[in-house]
Amino acid sequence: MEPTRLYLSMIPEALVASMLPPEAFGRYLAVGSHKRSSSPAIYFELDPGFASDFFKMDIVRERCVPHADGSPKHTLYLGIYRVLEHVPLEALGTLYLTTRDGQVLALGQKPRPGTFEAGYHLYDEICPVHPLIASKLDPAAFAEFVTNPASPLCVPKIVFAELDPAKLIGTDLTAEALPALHNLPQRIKECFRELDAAGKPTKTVDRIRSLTCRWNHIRNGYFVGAGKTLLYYPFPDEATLDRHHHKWWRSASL
Amino acid sequence: MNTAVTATWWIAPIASIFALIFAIHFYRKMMTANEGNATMVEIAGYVKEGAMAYLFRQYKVVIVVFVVLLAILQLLALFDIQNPFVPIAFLTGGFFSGLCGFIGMKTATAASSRTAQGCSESLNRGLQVAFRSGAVMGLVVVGFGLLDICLWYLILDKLVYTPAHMAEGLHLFGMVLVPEGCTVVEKLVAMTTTMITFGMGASTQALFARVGGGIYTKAADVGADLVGKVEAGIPEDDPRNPATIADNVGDNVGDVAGMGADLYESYCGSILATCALGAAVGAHHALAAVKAGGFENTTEALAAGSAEVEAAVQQAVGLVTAPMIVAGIGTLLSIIGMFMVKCREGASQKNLLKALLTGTLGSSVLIVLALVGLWLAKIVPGGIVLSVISGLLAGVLIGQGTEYYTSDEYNPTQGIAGQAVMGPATTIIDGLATGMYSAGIPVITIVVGIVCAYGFAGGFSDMAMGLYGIGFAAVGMLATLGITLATDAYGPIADNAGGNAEMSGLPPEVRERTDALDSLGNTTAATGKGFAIGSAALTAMALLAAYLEEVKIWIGKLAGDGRFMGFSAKEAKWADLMQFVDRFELHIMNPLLLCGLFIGGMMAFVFCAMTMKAVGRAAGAMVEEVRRQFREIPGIMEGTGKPDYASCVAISTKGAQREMLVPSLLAIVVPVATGLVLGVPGVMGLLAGGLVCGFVLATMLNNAGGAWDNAKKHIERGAHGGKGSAAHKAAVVGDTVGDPCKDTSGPSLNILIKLMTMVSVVFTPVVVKFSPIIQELLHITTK
Repeated sequence: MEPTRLYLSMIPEALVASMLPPEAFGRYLAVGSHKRSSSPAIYFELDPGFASDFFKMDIVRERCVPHADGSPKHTLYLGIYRVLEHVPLEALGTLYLTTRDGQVLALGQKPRPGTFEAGYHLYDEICPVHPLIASKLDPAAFAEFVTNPASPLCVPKIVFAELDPAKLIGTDLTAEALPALHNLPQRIKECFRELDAAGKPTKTVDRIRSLTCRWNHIRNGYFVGAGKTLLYYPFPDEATLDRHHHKWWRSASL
Repeated sequence: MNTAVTATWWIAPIASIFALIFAIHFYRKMMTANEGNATMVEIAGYVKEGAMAYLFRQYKVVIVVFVVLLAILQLLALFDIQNPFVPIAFLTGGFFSGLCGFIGMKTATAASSRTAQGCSESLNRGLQVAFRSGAVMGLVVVGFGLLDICLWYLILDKLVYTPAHMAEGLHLFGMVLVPEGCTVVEKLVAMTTTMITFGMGASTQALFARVGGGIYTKAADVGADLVGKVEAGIPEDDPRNPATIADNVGDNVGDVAGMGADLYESYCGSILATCALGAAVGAHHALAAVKAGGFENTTEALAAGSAEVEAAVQQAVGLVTAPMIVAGIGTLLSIIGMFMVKCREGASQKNLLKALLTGTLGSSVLIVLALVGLWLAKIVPGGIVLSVISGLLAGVLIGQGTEYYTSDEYNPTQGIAGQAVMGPATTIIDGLATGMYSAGIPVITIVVGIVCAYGFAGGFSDMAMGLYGIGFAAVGMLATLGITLATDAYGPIADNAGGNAEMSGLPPEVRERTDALDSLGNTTAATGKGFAIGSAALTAMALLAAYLEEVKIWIGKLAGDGRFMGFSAKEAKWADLMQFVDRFELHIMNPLLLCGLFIGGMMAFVFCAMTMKAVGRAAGAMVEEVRRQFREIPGIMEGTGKPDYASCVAISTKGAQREMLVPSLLAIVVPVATGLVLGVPGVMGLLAGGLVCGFVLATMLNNAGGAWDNAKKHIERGAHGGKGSAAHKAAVVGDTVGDPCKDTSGPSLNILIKLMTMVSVVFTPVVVKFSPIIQELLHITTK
């Protein structure tokens, strides 16, 4: 019998106990077994020894048990509100990205690089809030800025991905895109110009963005930040994805 | 001089047998190749099973149509208003065309897993398996096509038009097979106009293959994409998609069987029409020599030892046999070219492209040299060499024009991608405009090509010779069809190999190699397409002239001992084309011809509309089925439940069979109905209108569809926000609109044009005999 595992889901933010191994869990979240759902999933596998007073962990042993027919319990939701805040960073294990048709990619935690690219950055905030942010801060500084309790606009912890601006707007920031009411590339350029003009550290490009999971635009990878602590989950380059994770990459690029 | 078979003519039948021998050789070699692991074999098996199921169902429908047409033709022959050889000639054309489709499909479906396995060893190995498999299709098409023509020629010459039969006549069940006192030139004209009718069998089979295949492939494609990709979010060639096997089957039925039947028909049509025109030119020159010598006919002149008439008859035989000889030489050169397509292990994609181009373009250069040889041997006039060069250059230019308007390396397609930023509507508008613009280069090229081919052959002083030059330009373009079709047919094989590698989960380098082969195929196919389009237009033009020759013959026959339509039998025989143009008022001011023009133009559009709507209906049924399976088969998305591939294959097959019947029959019924009411001018108008509108519309639809497809790929490569962007969504809409344009309606139009001409040629006696009666009743006679 599979052991009970704990997962921290980002879409939606939830702590879930399950008897499914990580890949099967992701597939279940994405395509379901009877519901015929079709939605991407991002989740961390948690340290099996994770304990918390905030969540009712005692129900896991009682309710996360096989069904009458012997099939494993797929999900037991333990919490859906302020979950990330109550999970210590040390408990976070492998990060899994699941496409809407159920292909799963595992990203391991690696030490963060000493320096990141200078210049403009684009951050796709995933949890607990979901805006798309333009910034001149590097990922470490950005995480520290967003989780700074001195700021009125802060969160205790933040999960975000860095996007590659060049893949969205090209390299020429001065070139004007075709006018449109909702033109993301043009909006990103305006935000970058405003960062320079107003000397702001960040500028909101879009209030809700992360749920679209634009995996083909990712640069560097995923980050989990809380103050000065920054966990780093590097995202493989396209060639590696195509060679070693072909099925996932084809599905993610759809 | 009693035989029409010369020593050099034997090149043609020998070459056709060589082609078939090498086809068997390549097939056996392909079959001995490793077909890969169990999964690869299983997937290839599904595709093969589906493709064969489709083909047999298509043949069932086609057989019914053929039986009905055969009965009609036989009945007409019994009433002496049809050439008695037509029913059987019609059958052989259809049979060999169907056989080519069957062999091509069998080879292609067996080659996919073997190509994928070959690619796991090296790029060159994959190329060898895929190209040699494509070569099987190329060689069976030219082999059976040329063999059928040569067999007919030999049978008619050696068994039917023997000196004894020509002197005394030959009758069978009351039907006149050979008239008493038939001269050598009359024999040549009768033989070639009989042979041309087997083109109707090939055209009918080709139209069913193209329309049915086109509907099948798009129904499967749309079903797989709309539900699998868009609704379920799973990528192409994913084994969880119930329509993925049908989609792979569609590539075979559309791009292999459909294209093979299409080019078989073009190949035979160009040779047969040119032979018929050669006979007409030869007859005209021989009769002029007879007249100048003061003889009654060629038999009398030859008996009297007239050197001029003897030379004219020999020239006539040369003009008739030359297209067959050139096709034979082209076939041999194609085989040589096929062996030139190889390179060392570890070759780069650039090396492979060079090898393919060496094979295809090298063969075309050699065919020009061979023609020079025939000119020096006094088998063809010198001008014909230049006519063929005009045709070949036109083919290359049309191919390059197509490449310019459809490749994302150039402005037109990049422009569509740019418009996609605005939304789907502007994408459609720009794609339509690009398609329309793209008609410019092919039309101008064909105009220049026709004028040059006509002029070089001496058309401005001898109209019939000019028309012969136009026909010969098409023959020259298609002479090396063996190798150009091999490069065309190998594309879908490489594509299927990619699908097989994807579904079997082969390592990434294998997929990279199959992608490289597929991409190579697209590059070389551009020239092949140019030749196919250009030759279709030239062949249709030559067939128009051949139709008038057929009218001339039947007026002579129907005149008997009296007069018919103002001609006695002798006058009809001695008349030139211009006299018939005058008699039937074949000019734009004749309202009957003008009405025919309008109907011909309309036919192109109505036919396209019917095939497009058919795709919509067939795709709708497929979408419902794929949705049902996702809904009802447990575990299909998790990969634990197995989709029912066969039911999707069956739905696409059934849809294609049901939908192809009406548009195909329309192409057969309209020319006859138009002829009966509007007479010969109406038919000429119909064919001219169909040719002009059909050619331009086909170019527009093919290129617009190709440009939309590549604009989407351009965005997917990262332009304008890449995949998932609003521009990409708009480009996907454009690509979906373009799919039936480039894969169903556009390719079918070429055959529609030629089938209407072939039907007109075959039903000439019916039209010539009954249209005056009907027109009299309707009071619409112009003279």
